[in-house]
Amino acid sequence: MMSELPDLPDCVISHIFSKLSLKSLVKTSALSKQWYHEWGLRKDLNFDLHNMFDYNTIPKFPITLTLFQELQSLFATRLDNFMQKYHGDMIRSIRINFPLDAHHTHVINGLIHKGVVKGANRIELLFAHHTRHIQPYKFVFPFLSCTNSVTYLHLRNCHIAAPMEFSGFKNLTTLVLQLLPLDQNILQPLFFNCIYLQNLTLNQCTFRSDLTITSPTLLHFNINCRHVIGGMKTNIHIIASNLLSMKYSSYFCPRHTLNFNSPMLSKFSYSCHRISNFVDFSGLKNMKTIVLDRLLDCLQTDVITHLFSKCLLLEHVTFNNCKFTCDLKIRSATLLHLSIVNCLYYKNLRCYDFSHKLDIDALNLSSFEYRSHTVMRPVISLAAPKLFKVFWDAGFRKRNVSNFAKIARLHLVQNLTMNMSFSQIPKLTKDLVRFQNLKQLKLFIVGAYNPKMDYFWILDIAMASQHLQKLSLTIRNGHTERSHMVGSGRQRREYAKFCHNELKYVELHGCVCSINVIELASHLLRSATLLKQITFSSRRNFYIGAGRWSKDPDDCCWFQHDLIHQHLKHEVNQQCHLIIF
Amino acid sequence: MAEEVSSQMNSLSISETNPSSSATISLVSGDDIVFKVEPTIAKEMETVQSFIDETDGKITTIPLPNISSHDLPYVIEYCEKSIAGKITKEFEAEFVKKLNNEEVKELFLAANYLNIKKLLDFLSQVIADRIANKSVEYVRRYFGIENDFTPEEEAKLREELAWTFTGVDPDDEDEN
Repeated sequence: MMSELPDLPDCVISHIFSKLSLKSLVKTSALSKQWYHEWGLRKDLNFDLHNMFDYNTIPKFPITLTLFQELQSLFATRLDNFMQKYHGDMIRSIRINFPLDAHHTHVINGLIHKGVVKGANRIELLFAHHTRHIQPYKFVFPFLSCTNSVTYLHLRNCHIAAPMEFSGFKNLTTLVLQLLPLDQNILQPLFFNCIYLQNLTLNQCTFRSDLTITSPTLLHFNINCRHVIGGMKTNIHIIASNLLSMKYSSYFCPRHTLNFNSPMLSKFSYSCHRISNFVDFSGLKNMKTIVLDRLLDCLQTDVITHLFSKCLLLEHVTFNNCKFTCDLKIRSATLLHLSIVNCLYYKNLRCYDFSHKLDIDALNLSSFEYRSHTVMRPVISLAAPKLFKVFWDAGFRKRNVSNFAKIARLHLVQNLTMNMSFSQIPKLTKDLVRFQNLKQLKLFIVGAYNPKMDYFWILDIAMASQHLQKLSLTIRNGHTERSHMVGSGRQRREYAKFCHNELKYVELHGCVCSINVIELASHLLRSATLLKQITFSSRRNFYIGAGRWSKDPDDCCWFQHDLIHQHLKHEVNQQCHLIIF
Repeated sequence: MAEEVSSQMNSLSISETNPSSSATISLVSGDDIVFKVEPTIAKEMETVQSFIDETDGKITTIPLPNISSHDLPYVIEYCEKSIAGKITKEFEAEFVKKLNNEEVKELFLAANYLNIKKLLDFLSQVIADRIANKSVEYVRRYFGIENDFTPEEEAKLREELAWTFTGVDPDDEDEN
């Protein structure tokens, strides 16, 4: 059998070999003299468990120190052997993702040396492991001083000793430092030498002194202190005249005060328990996008007033998981997008408060997102004459519908996304029929399945919105059994006067394998004259605001392709596609 | 607002449109079996498409003497899924599950002849995964590579890089 087939061309075999792990790749050198050189063509050298051990026997990290050290030295020996025998002319990147430590300095230095000499521009040393018994590898490179090829450097759990020579990193554009202690003495020479640095990330580092970040080329700066416990209070002074975006996140109370001297900063994301001695926004005149996340304390009117009075170009504002302790007043003529998602409203910490006010006056606001599932219902007033896109989710309690009437007054809205419960439908339908300019409507509906409830109210809304082009419905009612189709043989109900001349696309997702939904689809198929496509799927994730989607719950609805097809196949006309997946 | 994440589930598409006006293409396998396919499927096969283009679409029956009627349905199935944008990890795993190493190679040769890039790339990975733990001798036989090392040279090489020759699965000679 083997000899019957013609052989594969060499270039094809070479392509296949390029997909082998390092260990299997090296093995091909024993095939023949021609293939002996093949592994030298591998330019991206990635040393991790998958590449250095057998495909189906990748070891787990042992729990005892002795066994762990055995695995370490096995890995290091293999890595060393690979580099000793490697005869490629050019290396593009080197990466170690394995917990090596100071004991393996010789091997690691050998790798870096050979990598840099052969032109590597990307170095990643990712050492980290839960055991505390290892002493981190010490990153020192006197031997790097003659090379400038490296543009990307990522160090995880290394030790950087001051004063650090960064003279070999003149062309560095991206630096990621992770899980290591830092102070000004380490960073100072870095900024002095890396004159092209654009991206800097300090991920889970502990700061042992105040830091001053001085870089005229820096564009993106990210500080993540989420899992750093303890550490002292420090000031971080950022002098970066071209900085465009800044991201700061800390899990606990902030231990860092941020001072900016970055007039170009236009995008700022701040995620922390509280804004303490926060940022003086007065230097940030070009700020266009701001995201405030998880601010549970101290978000009082003065902070927001200060924000809007100093940053006069603000276009995108997001409050996510924040707590408002005062009425919120926003006045802005530049604001285009506003998201207030999952926030809490407390004036008085001892009792629920129903007098909270959200007062928004934004002449040019085009999109507004609101989501709140608490019992606290702020009174919303919204003056936004140009609003055309709305996401609204006020929780699933029956009485939470009250605020929505105010949105319904803004009838220029063309694009509406809404989360609701079945119990809210009768009340909400009255408001929904008031939108007359809707082009796109997405509804996410949750609640217990009720066989008596039909979906003709959707047809009411469609009748009222004669410009509607796209309708999407996602239903989640937790039923997993066939009961959805109970009564499927019954006489279908009719909605005689329904017709629509603009609707083109209909999507029905989630628990839609029920006779009531099929009845709805059947009406749309028969009476929406321009319908191009109708889609059924069992996907049930909900939009939850600020660009996020809920995870699909595991208990899957009962969904059967054939059944839907069988019920609708006779009603599909020539120009319409029925898609079921 | 973020666009909806497209579903990864296998999809069943039922279209009730007008039958396409352009004629179907007939592919004739090496053992003279005719497979009728939509022109969109033919587009996926660069070799077939260039044949059609050269004859200005006048010839719609294309002989494929190098491809057997055993392999052609697999190729067509993959192309159909590919056009529908429904190639998932699950589909790919199922697709090659029943094929032994020789059959994978045969399919690879078919894909290579027809020049279907996506299928070639996928089958390259399948072959790479399957030979990863095989002995050097097996890989030589599989690709028809002649050993031109002297026994001393080979022994020295194996000694120098000893760690890569560990953990080899036994060869399965009888692939049928």
